Amino acid sequence: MSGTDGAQPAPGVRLPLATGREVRRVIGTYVRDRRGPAVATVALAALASAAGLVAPWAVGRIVDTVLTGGEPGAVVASAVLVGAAGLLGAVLTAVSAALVVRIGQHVLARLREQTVSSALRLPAGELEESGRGDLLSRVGDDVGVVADVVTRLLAPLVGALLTVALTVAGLVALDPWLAVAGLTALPVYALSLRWYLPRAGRRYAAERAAFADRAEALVSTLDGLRTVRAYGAETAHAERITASSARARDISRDVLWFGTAWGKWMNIAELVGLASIVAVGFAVVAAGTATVGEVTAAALYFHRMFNPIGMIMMSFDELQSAVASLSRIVGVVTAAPEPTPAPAQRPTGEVLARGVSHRYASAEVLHDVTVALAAGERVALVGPSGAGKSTLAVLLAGLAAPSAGEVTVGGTPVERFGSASPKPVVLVSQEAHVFAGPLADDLRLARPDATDDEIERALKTTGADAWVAALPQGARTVVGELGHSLTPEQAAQVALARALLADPVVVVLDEATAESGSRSATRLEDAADAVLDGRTGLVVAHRLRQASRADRILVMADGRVVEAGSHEELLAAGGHYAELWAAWQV
Amino acid sequence: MIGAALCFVGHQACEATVPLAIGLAIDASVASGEPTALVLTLAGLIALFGVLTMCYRWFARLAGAAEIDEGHHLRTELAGRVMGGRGVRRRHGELLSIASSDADLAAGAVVWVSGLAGATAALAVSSAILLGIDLRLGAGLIVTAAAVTFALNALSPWLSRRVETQQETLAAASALATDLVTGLRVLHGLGAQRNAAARYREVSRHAERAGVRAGAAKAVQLGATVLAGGIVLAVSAAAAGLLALDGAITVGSFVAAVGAAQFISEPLAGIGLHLQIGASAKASAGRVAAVLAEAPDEPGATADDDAPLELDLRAGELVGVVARPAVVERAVAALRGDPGARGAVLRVDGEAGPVHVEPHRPDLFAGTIADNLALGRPADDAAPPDPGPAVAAAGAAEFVDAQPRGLAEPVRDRGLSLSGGQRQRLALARALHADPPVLVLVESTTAVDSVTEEIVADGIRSLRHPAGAGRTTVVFTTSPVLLSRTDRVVVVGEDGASVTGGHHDLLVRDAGYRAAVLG
Repeated sequence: MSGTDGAQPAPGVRLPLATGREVRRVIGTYVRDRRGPAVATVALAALASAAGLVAPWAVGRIVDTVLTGGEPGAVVASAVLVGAAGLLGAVLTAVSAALVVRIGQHVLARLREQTVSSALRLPAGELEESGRGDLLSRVGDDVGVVADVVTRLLAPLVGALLTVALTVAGLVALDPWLAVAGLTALPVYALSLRWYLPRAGRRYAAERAAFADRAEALVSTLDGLRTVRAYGAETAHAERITASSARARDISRDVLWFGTAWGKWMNIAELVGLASIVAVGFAVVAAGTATVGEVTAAALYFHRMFNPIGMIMMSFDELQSAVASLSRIVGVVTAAPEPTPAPAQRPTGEVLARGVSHRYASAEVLHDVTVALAAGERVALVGPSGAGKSTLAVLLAGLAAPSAGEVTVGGTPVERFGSASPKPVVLVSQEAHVFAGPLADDLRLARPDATDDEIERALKTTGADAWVAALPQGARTVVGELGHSLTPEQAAQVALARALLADPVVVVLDEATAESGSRSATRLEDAADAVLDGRTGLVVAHRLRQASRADRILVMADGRVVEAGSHEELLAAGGHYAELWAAWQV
Repeated sequence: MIGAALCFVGHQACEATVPLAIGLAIDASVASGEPTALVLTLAGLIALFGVLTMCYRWFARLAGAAEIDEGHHLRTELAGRVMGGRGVRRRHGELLSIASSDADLAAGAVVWVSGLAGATAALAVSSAILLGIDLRLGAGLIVTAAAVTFALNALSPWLSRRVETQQETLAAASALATDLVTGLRVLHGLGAQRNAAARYREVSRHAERAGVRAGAAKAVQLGATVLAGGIVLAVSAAAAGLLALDGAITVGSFVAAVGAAQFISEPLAGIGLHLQIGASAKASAGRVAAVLAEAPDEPGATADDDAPLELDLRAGELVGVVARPAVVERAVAALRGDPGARGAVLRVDGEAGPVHVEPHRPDLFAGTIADNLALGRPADDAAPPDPGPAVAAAGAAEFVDAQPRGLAEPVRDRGLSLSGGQRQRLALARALHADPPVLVLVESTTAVDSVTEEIVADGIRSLRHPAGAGRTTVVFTTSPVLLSRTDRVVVVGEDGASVTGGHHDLLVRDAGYRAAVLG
């Protein structure tokens, strides 16, 4: 029986998006940690941009010196000023850029840590499949998008923004009319950007989706290559990869054509500003309110803004996606329940579920179930697919709150142990995920302070010592994705070893021994016995032999417990259990 | 490609001319006060920007399109190579990155030449402008700009090392986050969320430190760039200013010289950049070519000297095989046709022939349930057979019917949205629906409950082996339910010798068999 048969996903359950205010609040918290450096950074960057204004002004002064037939000393003095301003600007730029990155990395690290710890607190039982893919893309892709902007764009962008702002200020200081002339470029930039952004956003999103499809087509085919070959479907799958690549190519071409067609507006804005400065310069020089040198300086100021403005315009799209990613990331933070303090006391092993019902979406899968386990008792749960066994196991382990009724462990509501570490109730499910990295690190997730000896002992108790010793680097061998891949039986042993290290009062085993043949099942059942030894245990049993060894067996059907008793009692009763047993014995 | 190169040369030449144009505009109109000169100047600016923008547009389009097409072409070839050969010995992650980013970078090889040509052209134009204004001045400024640019370039290996370290730590943090969320239920089951978060924090802080270091390196480079610009500007302002004061050059030439001296660092840096792009394109092209040229797996790579498992079947038989997992693995590899695998020989009525081995891991693909069941069938099949009987025989009818759209329900995330038992039953239904003459199943009911297993066992029997039908089936399993429906069972003992008999007979007389099947 498969554990999730009874737990159909609630369709369309998605994590929320954070509002702009929530995003600002979360980020603001971390920026405030660094308030002093933040203020210093902005001041230094502003000074750096101001130093950059000296050069065009000095060049303009040289023009005036030349036109008025001044002294060579004045020219040299202006040139020295240019050099000094360059040196000062260089130092200020480097220091402020380093500070910006330092603050950015500080905020980024805290943000991603809070996101991951929030993600890990989300109720796994309720977070069904559609939500899981969503969550994965938020902690993976979205955090990546924001990290990319912080590491690549933040410092240059802050510099560019301040440069533009101060250059405009410099233009105003030179001559207000020349500043107005330069600013005629602004509406061209603004309008074209307003037209561009929504259209570009759509196209870039389509392109990203096409790239993701292309990767998915390739990965799924590679992963399932044996199956593809077994069915002789190589050509069809190669065509599928080619088709997805061709689709991505067409979209990329479209994006390219669109982007390059829009690019002319950047040049038009530059032309409008420059031509206006020349024309207005002509007028103000003719009117005698400005010198040729000042007009030169204004033109050079404006030319100096081409690159920073281009950089800002080109980053808008990435900034937009970073903002979208931020609202998805912070959405995880706001969706996660606040951790509640757990009782310090380790509970005793009595488990009581009273009048428990549970529903997924609209269907009730568990109806008013009452079950009591004595401390140290081992109870097996059997029944056909969809009977509600896994749901009951999840509720007893406190991984989801029942729709009605209550579950207590040692008299305390089980959900109060939710944030306890170590947790007194542990569930080992059929989902035998092996964490990527050294095997010992995987086990230490259960108990970070476990010694090498304790890890070795846990592996020995679950019968994994032999194959672990045979690994190239023993328990330090990298396993999981990209590492040494474990067989389902080995993964199940690792799962049991983790539970052993966690040393809980109550163990719930849901199909922990299912994914294997009979022969290894025997070994796994011995390992499960070792984990259950001395603890209260609930075993969702797949192999009936395992159920027969329990103190008590509960038979479930259609979300109710329909029979209960020892193996012998149930056989004698001749009900569902006797029927299952007969089928299995043949 | 030549078109792209010409367009880029044109664009760079125009960019190089902009400072000259500013100088001319000031000289000819602002300083002279001639209204006609102003009109001519503005017309000249418009023409210059017009040419500049059109050149850039068509350079970007021609080069970009060539790059996109080449990337697609390389990916198509890679897909063909991966699917066609007997196997490519590489991790999937590596292949994915070769087929995505390496193919794109290698495709960049088609444009780096035009980039290089454009940058060189811009350099030539700037140099010509400078030399045209004054020979000695031009030569001095070109040397200054070149020296400064090369000094700047010396920083880049140091910078790339730090950026690379940063990328690695970021990738590690991202991989850990994904892995932890994938194992979310395991962590919840253990109550290990806090430990997991603490582990992530460690990796994240490591990435933060690397990020700060890379950021500091970039800041130094940024500062150095500002300094370089300052030096060039100061030198050019002093030299050209003094010449202008002497009356050797005009004011406009002074402005143009200063502008061109500043601009010249762009094509100089551009040449460096395009040489770098060329180098990384070459490296990526090397990786792509290595996959394309890779020899198929050599026979004997998995040397296998033990005696093969001999399975001699009669057509129409349903035979169970019980053996140690290692023996099963070897046998399945051989039946699948892995190069060099010789763990089993299967003959039907004395003849070896094609065998369909359904992999134990149920791989499903994007598409609907029906698409998955039709795997390997021609897409344009006018009258595809009804998969209903196969679905029912695999014990999957109940949950397929329960899907909102039945057989038309999409399979999401390669079937990961289905439970292990559901995936296993769908894969079995697919194998039964393919209806191969000889079918090998490997532990295909490990994730289903005993009641469903009964349905499956009966289903295989009645679908493939009704009285008189000629389908042959081998099941590698230790499930008593499946074995009880077989015609006979081949048991491979610890010593490798095999015994044949009926399931019930073997249960009675073979203790090893009893232990293997009933535990």
